[in-house]
Amino acid sequence: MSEESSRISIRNRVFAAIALTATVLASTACNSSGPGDKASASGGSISIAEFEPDHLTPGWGNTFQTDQAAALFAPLAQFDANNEVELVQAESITTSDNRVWTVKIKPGWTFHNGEEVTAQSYVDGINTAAYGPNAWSSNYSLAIIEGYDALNPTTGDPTTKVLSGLKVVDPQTFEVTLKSPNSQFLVGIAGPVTAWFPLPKAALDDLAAYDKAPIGNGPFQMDGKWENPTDSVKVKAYEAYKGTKPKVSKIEFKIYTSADTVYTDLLAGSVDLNGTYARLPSTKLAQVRSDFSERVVANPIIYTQWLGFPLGDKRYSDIRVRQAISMAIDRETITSKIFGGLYTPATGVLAPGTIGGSPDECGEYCKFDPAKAKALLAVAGGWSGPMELQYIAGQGSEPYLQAIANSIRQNLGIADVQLVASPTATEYLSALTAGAKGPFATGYAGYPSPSDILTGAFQKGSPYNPRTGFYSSPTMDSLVDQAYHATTSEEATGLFHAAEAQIMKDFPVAPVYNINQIIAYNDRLETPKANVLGLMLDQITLK
Amino acid sequence: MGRYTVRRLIQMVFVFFGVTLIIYAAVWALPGDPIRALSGNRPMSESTINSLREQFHLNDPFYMQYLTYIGNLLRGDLGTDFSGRSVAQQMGSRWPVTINLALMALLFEAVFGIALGTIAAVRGKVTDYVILFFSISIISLPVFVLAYMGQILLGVKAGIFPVSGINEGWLSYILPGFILATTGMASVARLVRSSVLENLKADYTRTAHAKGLSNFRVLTRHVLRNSLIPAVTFLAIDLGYLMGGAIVIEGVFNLPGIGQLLFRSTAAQEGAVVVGVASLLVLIFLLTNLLVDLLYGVLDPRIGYE
Amino acid sequence: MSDHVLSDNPTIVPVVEPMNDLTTQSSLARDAWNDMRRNPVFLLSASVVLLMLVMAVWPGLFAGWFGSGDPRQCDLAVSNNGPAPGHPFGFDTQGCDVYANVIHGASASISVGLLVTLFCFVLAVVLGSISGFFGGWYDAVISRISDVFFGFPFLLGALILLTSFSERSIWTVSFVLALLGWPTLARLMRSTVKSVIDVDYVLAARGLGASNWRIITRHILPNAVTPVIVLSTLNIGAFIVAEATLTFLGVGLQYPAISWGLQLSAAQSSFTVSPHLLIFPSLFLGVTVVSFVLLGDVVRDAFDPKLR
Repeated sequence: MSEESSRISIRNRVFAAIALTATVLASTACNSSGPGDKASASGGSISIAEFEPDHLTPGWGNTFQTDQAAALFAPLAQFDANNEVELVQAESITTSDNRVWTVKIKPGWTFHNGEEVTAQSYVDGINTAAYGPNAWSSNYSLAIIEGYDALNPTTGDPTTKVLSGLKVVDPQTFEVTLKSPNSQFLVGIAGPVTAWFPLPKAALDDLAAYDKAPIGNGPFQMDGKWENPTDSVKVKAYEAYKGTKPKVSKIEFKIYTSADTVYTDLLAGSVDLNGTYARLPSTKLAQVRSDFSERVVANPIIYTQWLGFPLGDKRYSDIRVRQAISMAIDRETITSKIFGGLYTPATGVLAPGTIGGSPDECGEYCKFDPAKAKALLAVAGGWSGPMELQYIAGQGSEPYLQAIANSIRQNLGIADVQLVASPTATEYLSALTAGAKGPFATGYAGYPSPSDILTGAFQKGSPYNPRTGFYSSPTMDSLVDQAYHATTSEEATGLFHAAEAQIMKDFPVAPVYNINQIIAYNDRLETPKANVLGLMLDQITLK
Repeated sequence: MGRYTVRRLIQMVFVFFGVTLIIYAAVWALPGDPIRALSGNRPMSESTINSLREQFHLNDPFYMQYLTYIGNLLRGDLGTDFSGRSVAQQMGSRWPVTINLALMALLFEAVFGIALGTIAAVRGKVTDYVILFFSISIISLPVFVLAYMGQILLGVKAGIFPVSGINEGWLSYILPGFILATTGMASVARLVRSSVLENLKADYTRTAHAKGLSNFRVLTRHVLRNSLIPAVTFLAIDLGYLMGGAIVIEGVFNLPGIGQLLFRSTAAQEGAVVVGVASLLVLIFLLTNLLVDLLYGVLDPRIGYE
Repeated sequence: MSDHVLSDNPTIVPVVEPMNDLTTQSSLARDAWNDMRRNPVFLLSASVVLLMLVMAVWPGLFAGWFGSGDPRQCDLAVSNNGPAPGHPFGFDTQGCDVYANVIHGASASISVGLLVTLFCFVLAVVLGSISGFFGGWYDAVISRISDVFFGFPFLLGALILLTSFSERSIWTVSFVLALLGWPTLARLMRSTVKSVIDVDYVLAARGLGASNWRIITRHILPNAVTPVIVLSTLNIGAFIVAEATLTFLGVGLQYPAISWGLQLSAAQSSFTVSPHLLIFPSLFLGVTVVSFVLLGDVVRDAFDPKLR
């Protein structure tokens, strides 16, 4: 083949490639979906930004399905705008001893396929969540129910698929028997991200297929299937819904991978608002108010961020060292400068919005006082060597942690303060469990009951105990137990606060800040409402 | 040539299995327990964790896990991720996005690169330096800076392009494709420029001029043809890279492609996904390299393959 | 690599004509030097490169011009404030002086660029020469190994390597970048070696009984290595930029290190409200990269006899 002709054929090939490219792109344009759901005055449809859920069935997947679950399913109870528990599908939830709870549901409610919602539907749903091998993420929350262990043996297969603590009394009533009295039961089942949802018979035959288009009992029904995880989830109003009808007729949950892109899309107006767990990147908080002016909602949500300590490490085992480090953190300036005033300085481990309030149990140790901090550290024996703050990369934690590191360096006189990033959450978790090498940034997202964080993290053996440096206090445990047996909510609150006071007295962690749920929304909406659990979907209104 | 190709193909099989083994071992060796991390902010019972570990053979020794995986692979079963979603389906839904992005970027690289390179070579020193400066300035900014700036300025503020997502057909790929193409564009421009400069001084060019052909004719019919070889080889290799998925671009523009899938699965230590995607990428690289080497052997007679 | 973390200029580059003897070699060098000396672009880019290198080695020389010059003297109260007396570039999110940080950032960024280039260069020359000169099984093995590195998912490799090193220093980050960048350069070396190897004088040398080592070092290397050198200077800039992208992805340098990559990564989210955080490090990074690349370009043009 001569050089000439080989070069000609190269040129032809290049042109052919370009032509092929154009054809492929043109055909892609023909095959792809139409333009996105831009703002339109008619039709009453909105779009909400979400991160990718792994399952849509409530109770099965991670927290990123919260809003979708709230649209498709009606809970037994939920929180209203004042953070009070209000019944939705349940007509009454009563108990005489905090141990056996009788749930009566409203009659006549139907699933989106017309099947009636009965007590059996609920029992089926709860049993499916409780059955260990299903690996539903809400499984663990059912550990308080009698019979749970039979469905979740530590070795071998479960012997049964039904909880002995669940009993259908009549088509509208079922009974729940807990292993031990728990005054916080009702609070624990309110809201969209729980295991307490009914399943229709269609679900029980094929859960995987059901998950692609869940048939729920809520104000919205699926509008099409959710085939690929990155597809939008589209829902439309369910005409036969017996509860409070929503104010919009269609919602599209657009899926994003990056919080920064959510923010940019909100700015451009191509999505109407960000969902409960599609949190705005913390690096953008300082400019949210200037970018969106009044179109910002900041609402307390239960989350406390703290600096944990490896309590077994002798450098940190002296409480005065931990308190000194805590007093070197300028929470006010950090929250106002780095978080644009949208987050609040922490005053304890309970977050604002918790039922019963969040008293200031931390006191002076959560106030910035460099002189006192330095003095306290000196009394404790001073510090030598490096201090390595641990955190997970890629979550926007760097700015506030650098501020803390700078403050420790400049105010406590510790020359070598480093930030050590774990590239992945899995690695971070195992590093914490093995024993962290220094103070570590972590937190707890929880339920509005104080018992959630107290038993979820601060009890020995609890799932998130590593995040507290393996803190354990029998005094604290017994106070919580007494609160479970309390007969009035005031009594329970008092005991929970005493438990928190005990924790702050031992000071295993230095609470830093509490977050608010920040919602930035499009001009075409009325101000969205949110409560302590998240967005209230049925209240979103177009102007 | 034929024997060489066959030999390379056989080597490819070995390399492919070797690489999948290394990648599998690499994911396996990452510290941390991916099943525990799966629960995120909701704790899992020991029984659930155990049953998941059983289901994914995570308690088996390494070689058993690898052999099970290869066995399934040979049967066409790519497995599922830890949440039960099919790897094959996820890859299948994401590949077209990556291919569209790659082709769009390649188009920009080819068109703008060749145009700028030719102009730089033909038009004189000042234009040459301006183009050189411009193209080098673009590549001296990290891609995430360019991506965010482009998104804000052209997407949000000017409203010319969609800000994110793939909802607007091929329009969605223009801005991300262009930004992805910037580095390649600069390289192609420089390659074309130096080849054109060389060829402009060659004897046959002078002959063509002497024959009375116009500058334009000389350029397009003779010089360009010969000057495009290095650029085309570069573009062929670049396509291999682009297919690998552009992690940053996909993240910034919310394009559900292979890059983001690989990124997140690596962080979550999802062995099945990472090995599935990475093995396919390795295959593409190997094939592209083989094609380029063959192309090279055809074009440059000094390179011989025994 | 995705996203052109490294800029590529792989297999084809104008091949340098072989030199027959030492006098011709040195006169080419002398000719090139004479050309470059008079080229304003060369003078400009070379001086900027020199300036940046001095800045990288002695930041203190420049940092104190306007204020205290201490990049770690930070006051959160002035977070993100713009330029002020004594602080011509303003303050960053932590309230530290941007000017001092940008000056000090040269050190880490340029070090990474140079280190990676050096690693890649050595690996590429050695492996590329072996592969190109001996051919056969050596070539097959080395080429397939480089294929593996080409195809290995970048992030996975970076994660593995960085989790096995306990610290993230300039050395570890450079090592990771180098491991992912050498295949391109090696392929180039291999192809230039292959094109030089059958030339007459090499055959003559063989006929005279020269050993392989002598042929490689005295005849092949000097001719084949020039494109690799030139490409390496072009790559220095690319690697400096790659460090920034690595940091952005979470696998690069971190506090308390100071580098342009860290500054850019932190600045990109607020550039609409605090553009000064992005502008000044970008300016310095851009000028440095442009200078290195222009320098490389000028050197290549000067040494390429085909352009005379």
